[in-house]
Amino acid sequence: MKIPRCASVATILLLGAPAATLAADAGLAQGLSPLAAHQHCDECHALKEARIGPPFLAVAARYANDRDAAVNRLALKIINGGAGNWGTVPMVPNERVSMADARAIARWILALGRG
Amino acid sequence: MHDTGLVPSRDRNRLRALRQLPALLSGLAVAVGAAGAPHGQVTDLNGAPLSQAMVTLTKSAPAPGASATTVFTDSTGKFSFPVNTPPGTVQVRLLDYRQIGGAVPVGPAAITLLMRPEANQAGTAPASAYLKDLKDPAHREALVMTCVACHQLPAPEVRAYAKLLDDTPSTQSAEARELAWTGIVKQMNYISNVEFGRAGNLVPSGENVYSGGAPGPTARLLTEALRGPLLEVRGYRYGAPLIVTPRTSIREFEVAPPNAIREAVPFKGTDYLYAADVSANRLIRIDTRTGALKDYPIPGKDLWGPHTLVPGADGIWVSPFFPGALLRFDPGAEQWKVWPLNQPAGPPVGLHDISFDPNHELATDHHGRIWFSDIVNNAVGWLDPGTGKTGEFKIPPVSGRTGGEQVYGLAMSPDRTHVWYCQLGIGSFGSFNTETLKFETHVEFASPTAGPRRMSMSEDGVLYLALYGAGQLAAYDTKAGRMQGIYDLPDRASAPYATFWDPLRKVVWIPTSNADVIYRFDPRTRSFGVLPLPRERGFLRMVHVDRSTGDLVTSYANIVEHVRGPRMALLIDPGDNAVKAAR
Repeated sequence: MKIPRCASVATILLLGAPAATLAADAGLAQGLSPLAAHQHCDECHALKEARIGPPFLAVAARYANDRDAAVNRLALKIINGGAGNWGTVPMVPNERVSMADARAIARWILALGRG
Repeated sequence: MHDTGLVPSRDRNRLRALRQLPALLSGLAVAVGAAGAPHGQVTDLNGAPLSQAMVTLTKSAPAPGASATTVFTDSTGKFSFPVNTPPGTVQVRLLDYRQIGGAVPVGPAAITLLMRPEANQAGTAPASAYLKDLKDPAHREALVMTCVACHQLPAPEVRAYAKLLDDTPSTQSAEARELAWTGIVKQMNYISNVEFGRAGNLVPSGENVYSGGAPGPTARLLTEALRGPLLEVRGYRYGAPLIVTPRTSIREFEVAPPNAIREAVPFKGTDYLYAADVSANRLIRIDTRTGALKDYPIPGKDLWGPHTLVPGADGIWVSPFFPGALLRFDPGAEQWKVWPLNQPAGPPVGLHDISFDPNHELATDHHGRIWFSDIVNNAVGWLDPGTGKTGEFKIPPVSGRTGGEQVYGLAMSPDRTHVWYCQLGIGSFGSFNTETLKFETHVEFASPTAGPRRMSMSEDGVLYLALYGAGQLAAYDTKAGRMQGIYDLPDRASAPYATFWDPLRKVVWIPTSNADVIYRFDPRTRSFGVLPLPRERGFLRMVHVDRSTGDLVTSYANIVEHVRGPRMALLIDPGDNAVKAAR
């Protein structure tokens, strides 16, 4: 399906930008960190509302008293996926994400709880 | 190709060699001619030669030419790469076998590549193999039409998720698995919304974040079709003879992400391929001698995203992914020209296909008008490039088939008095008279999800339609006004995207999106042949023929950013000496 094209300042700014940047912009516009947007976390998660997966703020609240220990567990969950804490639907594995990036995304999620 | 076990292998090899002496001699000729280039033999562990194996050399260091070159073994298992092929590593893809030790380095010295039989075809069979046992054709059609619109099914990521569901205690029931697949379908809807909304900077939000169709029906089909961990697939066959010879070669030119090669075309016998980068505003020129790339951005402020390419006498005509214009690139002057199509206050005009002749070059009607299919408005339209004037005619509704009736492919009759169009979402096609400006013929396929996509027409007026969902080829005689035949493809889950009438060979080429092959249909014998491709996730869309060389040009069109398949333009010499034979 095609949709009408409407000229806007944003469209002009996006001209010539590679697709990776274009798709990541959807996540950035929704308040995700650049890394979380780049890895397309917005497909299943939002900051405040439940999507396919839980809101990031809810994840941060759950581990508010356990942040340091939760970094590694969340990072491994990002990479390996799986079900358990938030219902029966398993999160998709994201094996393309490096451990360093997964830890950085986990730290960003957990820091949301401080706000 | 495969042992029957009835004759001792040594005698069997002798018999095979005698039977195929002519092919053997031709193989020797190739080996002599390519002295110095990487060469060798593919055998099993008993020393029995394996014929028609794909041997792919990926260059190991920067060197002129293709990123990878594939040749096929002859009846004695021997292969030889073309002269000047640089050193690299070689890999073999052959159904029912696995290469021992994986890819190995190769240089000018002869090498023997050893294979062991393996009934589990995971890694060598295409994605379509996993759908071969679906009993209900409607089930297969629906999955192909829905999922393979953007990616192969089941892609490796889909198989990984199936394994996760199989491993997870909470998803052992069909109900729980359906709920999980519902989440995946919603995720795909989100990705579609981002991809299709990017020109307008439309960020999915609120309740509409997963809009794009109720996920339930597709989730139910996936639950039924993708059972178990999907670590194995067995018993897949190509379904028709392979048409490769020891002279067949496939050259792959990588254009690394984020570039997306929607399709690629040759131009006037040059050594260049021109590729449409639908992810950005440019054509990419690929020098097939050196592998060098050059970008040709479309000037101006608008994001178009080149999509369909049709070579013409005065350049390459381009229909863009985002609506509103017809474009032309002049490779000689290296200049773009843009014809705006939107009328003030009118709906956007979304081109898909542009009128072309049986040589697949741009064709105008007798009044100089280029015709196109407008997928947004379900109309056929025209542009007079001399005056810039334009117009459209809405396709009449089809009784009983409403919803999703967007027009898709378009081809012009040899006498340039009619354009033929097809409607992807409702399984129909028809004609429009460009002299009287009236719609004439209308034909419906039995199944509304048959899925006709890109079409082409022969010099004698036979219209060939690729039925994406049904996995069939339809041949319609436009002069007699009757269906010549609807032919099952060798693999019904192959997702045939297009037909290309080959004026040189008088055959039809059919690139597939889900089976890693191109089919060849010979109308004289009404039979198919298979040209297999070396790479998994060979998600093909269009194919073109370079009439000066007989080479096929196509691309792995993994254009959706998240699809991690290859992004390459391909130059294929089928190895049939077609140009020589045509003279």
